Amino acid sequence: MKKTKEETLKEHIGKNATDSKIKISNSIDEIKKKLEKDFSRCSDFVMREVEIGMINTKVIIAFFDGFVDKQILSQNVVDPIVKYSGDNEKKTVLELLKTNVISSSSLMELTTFEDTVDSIVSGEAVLYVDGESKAFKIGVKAPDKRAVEQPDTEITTKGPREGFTENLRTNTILLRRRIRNPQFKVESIKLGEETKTDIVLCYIDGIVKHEIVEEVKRRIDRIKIDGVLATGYIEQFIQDGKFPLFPMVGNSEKPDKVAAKLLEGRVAIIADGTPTVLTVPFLIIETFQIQEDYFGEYFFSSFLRILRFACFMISIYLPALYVAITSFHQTIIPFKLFLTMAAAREGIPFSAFTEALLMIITFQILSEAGIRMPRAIGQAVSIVGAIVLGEAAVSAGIASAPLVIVVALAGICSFIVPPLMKTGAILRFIILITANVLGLMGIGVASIILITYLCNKRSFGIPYMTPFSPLHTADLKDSLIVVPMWAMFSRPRALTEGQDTTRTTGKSFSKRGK
Amino acid sequence: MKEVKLSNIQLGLLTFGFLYGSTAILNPAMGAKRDAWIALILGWFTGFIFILGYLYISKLNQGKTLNEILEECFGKVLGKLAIAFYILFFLYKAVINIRGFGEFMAIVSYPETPLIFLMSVFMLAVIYVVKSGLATIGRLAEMLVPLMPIPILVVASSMVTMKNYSGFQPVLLEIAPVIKGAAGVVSTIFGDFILFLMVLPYTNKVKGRFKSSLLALMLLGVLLMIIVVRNLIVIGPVLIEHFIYAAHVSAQLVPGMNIDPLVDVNLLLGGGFKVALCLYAVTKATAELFKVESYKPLVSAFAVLAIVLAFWIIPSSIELRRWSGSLSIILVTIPAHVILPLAMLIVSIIKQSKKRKNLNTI
Repeated sequence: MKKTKEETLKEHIGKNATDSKIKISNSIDEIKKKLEKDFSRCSDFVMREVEIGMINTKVIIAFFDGFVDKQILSQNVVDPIVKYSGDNEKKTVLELLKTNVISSSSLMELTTFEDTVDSIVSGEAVLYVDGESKAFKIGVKAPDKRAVEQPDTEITTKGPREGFTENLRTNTILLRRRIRNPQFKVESIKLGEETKTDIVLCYIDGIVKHEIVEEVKRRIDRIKIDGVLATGYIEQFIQDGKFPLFPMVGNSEKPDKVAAKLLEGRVAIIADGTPTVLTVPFLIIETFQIQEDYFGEYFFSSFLRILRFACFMISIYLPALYVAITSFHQTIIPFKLFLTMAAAREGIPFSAFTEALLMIITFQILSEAGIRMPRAIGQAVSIVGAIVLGEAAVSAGIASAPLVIVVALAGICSFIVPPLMKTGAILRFIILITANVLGLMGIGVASIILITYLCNKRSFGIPYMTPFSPLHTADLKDSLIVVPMWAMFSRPRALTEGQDTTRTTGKSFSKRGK
Repeated sequence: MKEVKLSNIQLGLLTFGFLYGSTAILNPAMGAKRDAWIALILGWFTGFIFILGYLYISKLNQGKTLNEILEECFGKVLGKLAIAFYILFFLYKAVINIRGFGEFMAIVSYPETPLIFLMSVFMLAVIYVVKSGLATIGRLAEMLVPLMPIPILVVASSMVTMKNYSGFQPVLLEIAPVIKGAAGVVSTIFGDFILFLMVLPYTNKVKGRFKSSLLALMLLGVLLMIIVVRNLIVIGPVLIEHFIYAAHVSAQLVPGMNIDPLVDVNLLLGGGFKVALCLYAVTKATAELFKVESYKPLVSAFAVLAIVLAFWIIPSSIELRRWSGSLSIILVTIPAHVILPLAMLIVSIIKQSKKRKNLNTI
């Protein structure tokens, strides 16, 4: 009989639920049998049987080879147990082990068998004692090998260079080192029926709105999936809307950036095994914000913000405008330019639209190839690309020179706002098609629909277009312009309303000479 | 029921966008020729009075939509008839604006594209906007309305050097066209504020409603004044009669560059807001009249109806020209803009004072 996926999943969950009630058996032989059965055909599973010196009680230490630090384990656990020379002074064996024998700093009592299995598979060592219905979880997880490095995706020229790693604890420590405050909460959740991945929710109590934390928890609880191999899996489950066109969840690999987001009242989601951390709620303005904007030089930062925004506009509208103007509104072009453009287009067999479509697709192919290829070959691709896009297409009479400029400019501009790169690529096609259908009016209608779509969107209850619409005048100081740090008096009001919104007081800047 | 909340800024901007509507291209008070600016000022002041009256009606009937106010003032049967009348009136307003938009696009930019296609594409955007709900319309106003005056100011500022004011003289040669022009301004621009009785109950603050609406009205008046004066200076009182789209012509006259498509986009925004709110009012009022739970399923149906009616009511562009120049375009709005609101105002005031007396006696 075949079962549907849901049924098997339900059964699986049901089984887990009943199993978790099973107590740890008193008899060590029974435990041994059970462990052997559960971990059969796991060659990396180690079960070490020892007797406590002088007392002669049998204990079993179970762990996965390579997952725990064996040196620490033998130093702190196995050695003291075997070499124990004191006698049983009226204490139970458990008490004795806990207080006098084991010298590991992290120790926890477990009561159900299922918990012990969970601990073993998540990299702890578990100690079972004969004649007791309790076991110890000993934290001796081996440290990860990858060091904290600068992430390739978010390169800064100024400020911290550290990046998150695949190790969950390293990541939380990277954050806690920046926010040394007990109000910084790190809540742990397990996700994935098969993988049992550790997920961590980080937020700062007193700054974050409680409704947002509750909503994030509710959405994570709803997830039923077999495995979580990257935060990207979670992202798709918790984002607003089933098929969002724009990024609805923030991604970052930089702890300083995530810490700044936490201070703005956001919630961060870290999953074990992924260096990418999610931050929610995500607003469209965040796609234009970069950490370096806040490190001084605010005139230049504001200029760059506006430039980034303009570049995004250029990247999605320029090819469409070119097509609309050359095929519908030729009168807009100054006469002399029109003549040169007409001369350039002479002898080209395609319409402006076909031409633009071909060139944009070529550009997308080249950029995708450039990202995926090994770096050594990437160089070659870009040279070929430059020749194909620039020289050959024009001289072969497939594309006109002005169009090559337009497409190349739009393409380069799209790289300036990385979070919107994928969205921009799709929008460029859509708007290009509308421009071919109805010229500027087509572009206008498409833009109105696009802006309506954006105004409709919400991320965890916060309108996506905040602070522009609905207008939050206090939040505008970190939008298209950036004010100096001493003038950012409040955190984003939309995110932290009702909580602590003061970021800095006006007094913190002293006027010199007075 | 009334969970949508608009802020005062949104209300003001929405008022501005809606009243501005298609005046970007249709010269207001064109019939008054060289006295168009006087007609505009006259219409503007009358508009102030009208809008104060509408706002006062809304204030007396706190938190009630046009439907509920009408039913309370005139009783069940008469009230429902009045609602039906208003639905037709808003539909007519939507129709005439769509038709005007389509005509303009067909004449100016797309002479070979079928009119119905232009109107349908325009309607597509409007349907999406209306279906998104009033809260989104408010947010949309915040994003788009601030962009609307820019083309006008660009065109106007590029003509600052023109100093030929002979087009204004002689002043007030004829009185009748000025009054007709003023009435036209009220009936096509300011009187339409009556539609906001459907919107006002959804604002989040009672305080500041008057302020934001009237501020929008002030700014709008200034902008219209710029348009009228600019057109008179640039085109002159004799020629202006022969141009249907005077604003478009003056944009084309800017030396050195050609920015008339900017004005067209402006129309797309202004006309879009006007038609969207009209369609919203029509569908919302219909839904409330027939006690349909949500107005959203009705939107597409009424949008198609409006396109069909646009061809049926106004068969050709000459007909549209004749209709917008005639006296009947003013007369047809009088019941909706003057008579019914006046009745509503009087009945509401009487009811209010009765209530107060009752309270005092208790």
